[in-house]
Amino acid sequence: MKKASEPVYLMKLIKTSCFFGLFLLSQAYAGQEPITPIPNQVDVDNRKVQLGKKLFFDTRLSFDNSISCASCHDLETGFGADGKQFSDGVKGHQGTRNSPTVFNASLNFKQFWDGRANDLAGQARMPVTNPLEMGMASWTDVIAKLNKDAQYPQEFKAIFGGPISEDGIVAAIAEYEKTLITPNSPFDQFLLGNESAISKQQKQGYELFKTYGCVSCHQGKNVGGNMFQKIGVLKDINLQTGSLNEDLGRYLVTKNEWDKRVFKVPSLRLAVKTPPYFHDGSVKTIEKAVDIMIEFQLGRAVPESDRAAIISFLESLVGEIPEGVY
Amino acid sequence: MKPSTLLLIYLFLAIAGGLGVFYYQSTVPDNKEISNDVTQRLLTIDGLNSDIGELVLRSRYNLDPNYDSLTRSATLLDQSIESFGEAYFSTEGVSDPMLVKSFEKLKSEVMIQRDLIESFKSHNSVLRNSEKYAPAAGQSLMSIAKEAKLDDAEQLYGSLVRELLAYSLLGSSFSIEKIKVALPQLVELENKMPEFSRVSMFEFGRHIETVINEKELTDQYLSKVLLSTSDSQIDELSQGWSQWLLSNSGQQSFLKQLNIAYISFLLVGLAFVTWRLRNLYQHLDHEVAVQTEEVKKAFDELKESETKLVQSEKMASLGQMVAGVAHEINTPLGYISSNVDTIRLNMGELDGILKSIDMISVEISESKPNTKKIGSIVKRMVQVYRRMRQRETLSEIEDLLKDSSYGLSEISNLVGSLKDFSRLDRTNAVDTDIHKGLEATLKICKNLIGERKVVKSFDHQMPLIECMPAQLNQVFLNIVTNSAQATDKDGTIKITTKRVGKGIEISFEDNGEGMSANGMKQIFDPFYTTKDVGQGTGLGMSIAYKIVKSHGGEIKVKSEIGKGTQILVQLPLQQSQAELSVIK
Ligand code: HEC
Ligand code: HEC
Repeated sequence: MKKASEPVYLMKLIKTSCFFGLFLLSQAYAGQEPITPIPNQVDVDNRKVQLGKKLFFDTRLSFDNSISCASCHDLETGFGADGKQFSDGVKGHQGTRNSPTVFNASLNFKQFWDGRANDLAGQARMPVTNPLEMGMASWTDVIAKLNKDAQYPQEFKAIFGGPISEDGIVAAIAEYEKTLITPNSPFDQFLLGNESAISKQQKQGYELFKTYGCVSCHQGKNVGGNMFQKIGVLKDINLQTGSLNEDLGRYLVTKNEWDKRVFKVPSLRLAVKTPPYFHDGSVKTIEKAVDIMIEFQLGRAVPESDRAAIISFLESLVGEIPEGVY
Repeated sequence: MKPSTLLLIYLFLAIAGGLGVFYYQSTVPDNKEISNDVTQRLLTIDGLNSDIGELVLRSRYNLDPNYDSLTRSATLLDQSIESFGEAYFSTEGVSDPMLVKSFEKLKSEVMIQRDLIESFKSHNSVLRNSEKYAPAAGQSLMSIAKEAKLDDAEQLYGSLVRELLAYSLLGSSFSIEKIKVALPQLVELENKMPEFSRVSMFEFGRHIETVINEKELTDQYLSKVLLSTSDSQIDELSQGWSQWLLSNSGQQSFLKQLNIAYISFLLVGLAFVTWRLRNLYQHLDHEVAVQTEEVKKAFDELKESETKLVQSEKMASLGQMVAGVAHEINTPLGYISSNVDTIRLNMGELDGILKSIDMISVEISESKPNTKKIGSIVKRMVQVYRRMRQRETLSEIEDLLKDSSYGLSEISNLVGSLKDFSRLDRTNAVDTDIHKGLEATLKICKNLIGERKVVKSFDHQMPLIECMPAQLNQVFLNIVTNSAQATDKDGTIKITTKRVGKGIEISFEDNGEGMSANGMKQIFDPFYTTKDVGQGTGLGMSIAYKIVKSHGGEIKVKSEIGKGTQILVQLPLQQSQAELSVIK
């Protein structure tokens, strides 16, 4: 008997000590928060920012001079989005995806719901010639149009040392978008040590956000925006009554079987301000959106009060829009 | 071929060669820079690669609270590869197929890696949640079963929770087998467990499945990320680079040879130019020497001819002097010789008387003198004498002798002034009476002066001055000669002397033709003459100028055309020691 039990005993010992060790280790790192504050300042080239800002609001980037970037990414009243399920492009065209906010987009690791653009400059190349969005036939046309402007040619010469170019335009816009951040949110203040910056409910909401595991997907500086995730990891999204199962997401970009219905985990920094929700804007309220998350991403049941606490936590994530960005 | 065309060709070759070498150089990549840069890039990629390994592990074991670091490193790795490709493998970059291939391999490896990381991140997140939630859900089901006194169920949940923990923390395959065996039993429990726990039971089952599935996937992705062959790919690429650079160095050494050849070419050109320059200088030196020699010769000749001219001027003066003197001597000589002739004629009659006296004395000395004879002799003698007296022969002789003696004194006078004029015997500066020199000069020039009136206004209190009289006389002679030649036959020459301060002043004025302002300017220049060719040397006044200057004096000219000329000579009383030496 002794002979047989010895290895079992040893195994148990090792198991317990490993368990204990890992427990200690995770405790040691428990002090580190999965969400970190947005920096107050960004390092940018101011001349490019000013040029990019002008371009961002310039309707001449669209086929019929009716639409600018700001039409779908309303900085003034829409927190960088337009509040519609699908944005209106030129000639009343509509796409199939909800327009996300451009605020804090620079903190995302990829751009677009499916991450098909690697960075902001790469992103900015796309809407202009997208027939459903700004509808320009080509960048040559855009450049020809901008060349008629009194200032652009000089400004480009001064900044990029050459004529107006596609690269210059998208670089300037990207530089401007870097300034579109929302620092100093109550939650960031809390993270930086101001205990009273958020309410008790919000603190509780944050704890729930962590313990329920929202944080394993919505995390980092941008509370999201640093990974891809399948919609419906714990419950088949086909079981959802809405239309969330229709878009194949990243699969359309990579054609990898495993990328079906995979999307970039969106930032929740301005989530409470930018309904409707999800890639197709099919969900009108934050409550419904959180419910869907709980059901399909966490695969569990959450009491009503906890959901409310989580939402009030999400409210504490809304930061300040820097002065002079619009 | 002309040297200039040769030079042009050479220059053309030099420039073309330079451009060629430059172009070639620009096509040959700079090995060192490239190798540094590539090493740097590969190091960065390697570093990011290992960073990612560590970060993935940290994420897997919950040591990192979020994916921000991992995501940043993954993005950087992506960008590094991208920019590496752009820098060296774009259209005009490196075309070496081996290198391109190994770069492509690395790139696709990194791309696979990137996808693996993304998959890892996704699955790890889900796993993490279920790993956390499943045991908790199992535990709560355990207590429900306990309450419901369902020992089997309690035990099953208990062992599932245990094995789940063991599996997720230690990954033991032993546990997974147990879990897999236990799972079907869970379904059997569905009807036994209380109604309200249905949802929990369902969730528990789903999370266990999730743990099983996700853990397998997550660990698969994790080990794939960790076992990525990027390392060896980087090594391969790095070796490929060294090889490529080595083959490049062939080009490099060719470039070096090319450079050396070009430099030698330039050096040859330089040497040639130097050689040509040297020749040119030598030739120039020779030329200069020849020219100098010629100039020197010309100068010597000039000097010689000047001396000759001065000599001939002296001779001319002398000739003039001699001519004047000869004329002066000729007149008295003429009448003296005719006087002597006349006297000799008259002496014939006196001779007869003297002969008669001799005859009388002979007769008287005889013993018996012939008185008759004596008487006739005396008678004839008296006749002669009376005839002589009648013809006043004797007084005529007297006059003639007197005349001749005057002529002779004239001649001796002239010879005296000649002596005064030349004073050739004196080479030292002596105290001299200027007036004497002037008088002598005038006398010598008498013939030249002719009818012209000479007005002398001499200062009687004139002191003696220290000078070389012969030289000064030559000055006077030259001036007086010029004056005489410039005036009409009945003109006037006025000579004034006076004492002024520490010197004297001698002025020669004439009322001759005068001269132009130009003439005045040039009068002391050598060879300047207004006289006809052959009449004068043109040196007279310039010699006069030299002499006066060497005496420390001044000579000035004032003239007006049609009115006359004044030459003013100023001389000091005493000579300074230095000037004396010059005079000598
Ligand atoms: C017609 C409306 C429309 C216009 C005009 C438009 N966008 Fe968008 N934008 C969208 C939509 C819709 C999406 C999401 C598309 C997707 O993910 O496939 C989007 C996505 C983005 C994103 C990605 C944000 C993220 O978090 O992934 C950025 C950044 C952005 N747009 C910037 C711009 C800029 C810059 C311009 C002007 C050049 C512009 N947009 C013009 C509708 C528009
Ligand atoms: C497994 C990963 C995962 C977990 C866990 C998760 N989410 Fe999400 N969340 C996503 C993804 C992916 C989307 C985007 C889905 C889409 O648009 O198709 C999303 C979208 C959302 C949105 C909509 C944002 C918008 O602007 O459209 C909200 C709000 C949200 N999540 C909140 C939560 C909350 C609250 C929790 C925790 C209760 C949570 N999420 C847990 C992955 C997750």
